[in-house]
Amino acid sequence: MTFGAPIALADQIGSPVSQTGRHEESRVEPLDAVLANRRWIRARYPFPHVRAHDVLGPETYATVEASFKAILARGLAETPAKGKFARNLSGYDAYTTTFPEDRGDALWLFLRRAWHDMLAAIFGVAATGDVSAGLHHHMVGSSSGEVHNDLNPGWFIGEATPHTVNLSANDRCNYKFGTCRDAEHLPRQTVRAVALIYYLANARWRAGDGGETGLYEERTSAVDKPAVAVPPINNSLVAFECTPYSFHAFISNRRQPRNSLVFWLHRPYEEAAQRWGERRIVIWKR
Amino acid sequence: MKRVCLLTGASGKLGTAFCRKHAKEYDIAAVRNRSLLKVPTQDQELFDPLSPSAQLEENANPVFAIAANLEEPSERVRALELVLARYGRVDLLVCAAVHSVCGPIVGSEHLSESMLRQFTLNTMAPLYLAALIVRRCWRDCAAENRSVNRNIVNISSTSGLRVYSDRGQSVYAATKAALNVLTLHMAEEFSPFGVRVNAVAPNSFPSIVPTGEVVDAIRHLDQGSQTGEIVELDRQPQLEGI
Repeated sequence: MTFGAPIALADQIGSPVSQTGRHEESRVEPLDAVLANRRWIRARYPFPHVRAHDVLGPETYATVEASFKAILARGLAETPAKGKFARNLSGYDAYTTTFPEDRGDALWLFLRRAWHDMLAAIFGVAATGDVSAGLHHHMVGSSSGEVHNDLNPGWFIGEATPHTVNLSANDRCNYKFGTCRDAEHLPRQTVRAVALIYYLANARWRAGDGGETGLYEERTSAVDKPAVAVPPINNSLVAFECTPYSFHAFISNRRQPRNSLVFWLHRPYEEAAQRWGERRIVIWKR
Repeated sequence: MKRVCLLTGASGKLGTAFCRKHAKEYDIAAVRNRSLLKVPTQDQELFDPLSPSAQLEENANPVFAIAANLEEPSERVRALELVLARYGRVDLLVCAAVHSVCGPIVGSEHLSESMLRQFTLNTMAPLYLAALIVRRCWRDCAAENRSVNRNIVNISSTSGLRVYSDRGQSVYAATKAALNVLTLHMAEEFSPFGVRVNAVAPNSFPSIVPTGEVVDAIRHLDQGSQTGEIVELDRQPQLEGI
C-alpha cells in the first residue's frame, strides 16, 4: 500500500451553496481538532483495509449521533421516501436515506473536502472529489447481504473543486446508470475508489449480536464465515480501496438494530479500467 | 534474547494493554478469537490518518497474531504449533481469554445458554493449554525451566473470591473460583517441572482497578519466584458475601 503526503490541517473558507450537488464548506474546525484517535490500523488480511475506533472526539460524536437519531425518530417508510429512512434500495434489507439537506448539520463533517482528501491520501488514490454517501439502518434480523467488492461505476454531474466535494445528486442524475432528467447536465462516469462504513447510534455491541461488516477472501465465501468481522461499535470505522478483491458484506444482526453511515470516493473510469480491466468493473444490475 | 509470551485474550482490554506496554520486552504470541487486535502485528500496523506515510514508533515491536478458538482442542494445538514455529519456545503463558455472561439463575435463558461456554473458555481452556505446553515443551527440561524462570499467570477475578450481590455473576464467578483452585493444583503439580503457576484476581478494570495495575501484576509475577499465589487487586473494602 502506498500513502500520500500529510493532509493540510486547516479547512478552506467556502462560498455559498452551489446549484449542483456540490458541497461547499464554511469555516469549520480543522480535522485535527475533531479526530480523537490519531492511531488508525492499516491491515492486510484478507485484503488491505483500515480500521479505527474512537474516531471523533466525544462532543463531536455526540452531535453526529444526535443528528442521526433525529432522522431515525421520523420513522421508517416501507416505500421510497425523502427525508426519512426508507426502503430505497431494492435487494438490500435495510432502510436508507441521504444526508440532511442542511449543510450545517453535524453529519456533513463527513462530506467536507478535508475528510475526502484525508481518505484519498490514506489509500493513495487520485480521487475525483465525487462523493456518494448515505445513512443506513438495519432492523433486528435484517438479512445478510451478498458478498461483493463495491467496484461499481458511479455517475455524476457537475464537478468538485479543490475546496469542495461533488455530492451525488441521484434525483438529477441516476448514480448507477447515468440517466439524467434534463439535457442540461452531461453525466460523467467514475468508479468507486474507496468505501467507508462508520458506525454510530448503536446499542452496546456484544459478541454474538451480529451486524458486523464481514471481510472475505473470496466472493464465494459464505457470508456468515468472514475472514474478518468488524463489529458495529459506535464511533468506529472500516474503510478500504475498492478493488476486484475487496469482498465484504453486511452480516445479519440477531439482537440489536445496526446503524451506519456509508461513504464512497471515486476515481476516473479510465483509470479503473486501465488498472483492472473494464470487465472487472461490476456493472449495476437493472 | 526476549522472553516468549503466549497471551490469550489478546484483543481484550487487558491483552491490548499488555501488548502495548510490553511488546518491547517480550516476543508476544497474541491469541485472539473473533475480536480483532488493536496493536501492531505481522499483518497490520498503526498509522496517523493525517500523516499516513509517517513512520510510527509503536510499530517497532509488532506482536505475532494468532486467530484461534481455544475452546477447540485442535485450535489449541495449532496455536501452540504456530508459536513454536515462530519462536521455538514458550517462557510465559498468560491466560486472559474470558467469556462473561451475567443474569439471574432463574429466568435468564441467556445465562443458561452461556454456561458451558463460560466454563470451557474461562476454566478448562487455561488448564488444557497449560497441560499442552507442559507436555510439549516443559515436562522434560526442569533445570532449563528454572533457569529461564518459566511460569503461567492465569487471569482470574475477585468474583471468584466473594459474592457480589445482584450482579448475576453466578456462573462467571464459579468459573473464576474453579480457575483459582486449578491454579493452586497446577502450581503443585508443575513444581517438579520447574514451572511456577500463579493467578491475578482483579476487581473490574478499568472502572475499579486501573488496567495498568493488572498488567504490572502479571509482569511482577513473571519476574518473581513465587508459585501458588492468587494476587488480589481491589480498591473497595470487602463488604459483601463469602
